[in-house]
Amino acid sequence: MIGKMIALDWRSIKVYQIRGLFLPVAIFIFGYFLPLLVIPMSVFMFMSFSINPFAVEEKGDLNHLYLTLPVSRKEIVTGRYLFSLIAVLCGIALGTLMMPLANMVSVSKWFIGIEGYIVIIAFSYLIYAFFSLFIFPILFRFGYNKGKFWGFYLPVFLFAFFFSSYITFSAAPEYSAFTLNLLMKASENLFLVSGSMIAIATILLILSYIISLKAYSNRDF
Amino acid sequence: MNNAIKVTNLTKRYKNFLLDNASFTVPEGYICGFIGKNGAGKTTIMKLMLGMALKDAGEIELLGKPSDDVSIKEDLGVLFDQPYFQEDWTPIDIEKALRPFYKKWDSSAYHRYLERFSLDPRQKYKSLSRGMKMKLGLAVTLCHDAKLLLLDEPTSGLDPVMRDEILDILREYLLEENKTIFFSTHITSDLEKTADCIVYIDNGRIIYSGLKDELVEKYCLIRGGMEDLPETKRRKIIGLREHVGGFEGMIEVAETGGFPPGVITETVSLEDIMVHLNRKGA
Repeated sequence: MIGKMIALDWRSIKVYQIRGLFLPVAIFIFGYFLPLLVIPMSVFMFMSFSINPFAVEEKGDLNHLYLTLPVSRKEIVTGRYLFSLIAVLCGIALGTLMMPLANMVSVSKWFIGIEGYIVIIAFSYLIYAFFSLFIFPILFRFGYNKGKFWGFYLPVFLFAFFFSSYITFSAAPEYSAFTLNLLMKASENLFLVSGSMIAIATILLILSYIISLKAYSNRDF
Repeated sequence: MNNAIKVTNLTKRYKNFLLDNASFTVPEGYICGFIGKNGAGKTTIMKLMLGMALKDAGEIELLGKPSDDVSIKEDLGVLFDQPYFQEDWTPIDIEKALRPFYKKWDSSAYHRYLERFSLDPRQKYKSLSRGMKMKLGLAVTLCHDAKLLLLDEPTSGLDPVMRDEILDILREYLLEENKTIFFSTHITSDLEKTADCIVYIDNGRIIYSGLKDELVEKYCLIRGGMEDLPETKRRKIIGLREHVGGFEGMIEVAETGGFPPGVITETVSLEDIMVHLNRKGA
């Protein structure tokens, strides 16, 4: 049934599927300016794309449909998480393919090796898990309209704020090598750094799933 | 006789509403009208049956299984006062989306219904009229061989012709063996000819649950001049209205003895029962 729920979520966002084709273009354009951040940005965009079933569900009151189907609330939640995870894996794959391309045409060139890629992928996964901790439980509890501010816009705003602060900081001449040095250090301690990020992200994701399950299971429609 | 629905001591508390210890049964093979004014608790009970709302206490059995066993939903056909589909879906998309969930989905039956209802398989759901949307919902509800239909105000807001068409389809569905319909409505005329039994709810309490004929035969309308209303009978009249010309109300048939000859009694309709019982409550 979980596979069927994933398929149903995919069909429910029929109207957004075409828009999804623009994601690679947007990611590539972003990569032209910041090739190092292509993978995290790709993950973020695909994750945002995977939120669409919540928006569609709210608009068409689709919970009234889902809960008449022979499917449990747990399967609905699990399906939504797996749908998001699949989208994020697509984001990672696309970002990984895009980054060398973006690197070729971009004004700033990065030569980070395989280890660097692994660190960036682990970091992207951590970002996704961090967002998931806010987004899913709130959207499952309150729905898209009530939950989108606290569950999506606010975390995105905070993330954008910290991200732009970091960009400003690392653009300063005395810290221009900060990111590269950070990445090199992480690459040297690949298993420790990436492993820790993946472990923390997985814990956050499991936590998010458990909270979402509880939130959705206790929701009255 | 097996029960298609068995509700026992069902309780649900909302901020401004209490579903109070509701109990009733619906036998298999019956069409059962679930009546009550707006806000009486009909949709709440439907949602509790489907697990859309969470009960505070009580038990619900559908087709002999606890309602929280999701596997029974294979055998349920559900239609609310509007179907809930993604608005950009076409009937073809709807079939693709929902067919995998039902082992007994009958694609040819679905397309037969689409044809019968003159529904274009490629027309977007959002562009359909309300009546056509209901017909599409009905096609989905009926094409997976459901044993129990739970219909929540399916005819509300539809014109009489469309309502009649939908009722005809439901009658056809009942021709098959062991099919049951639980049909919530406040348009009682829809049930006068079709329903076998009635569950009547008012302010979250089940007032009556049983055969429709027994309910209708239990009461009668009564009217007469003011001089025809003995003081001892005043309290027996449900929803008593007094005016210059006399009195009118509803009374249990068993209580009609003892009135003077000038008093007139008439048979009641479901609507009369609802109106008078509601007046009594008010």
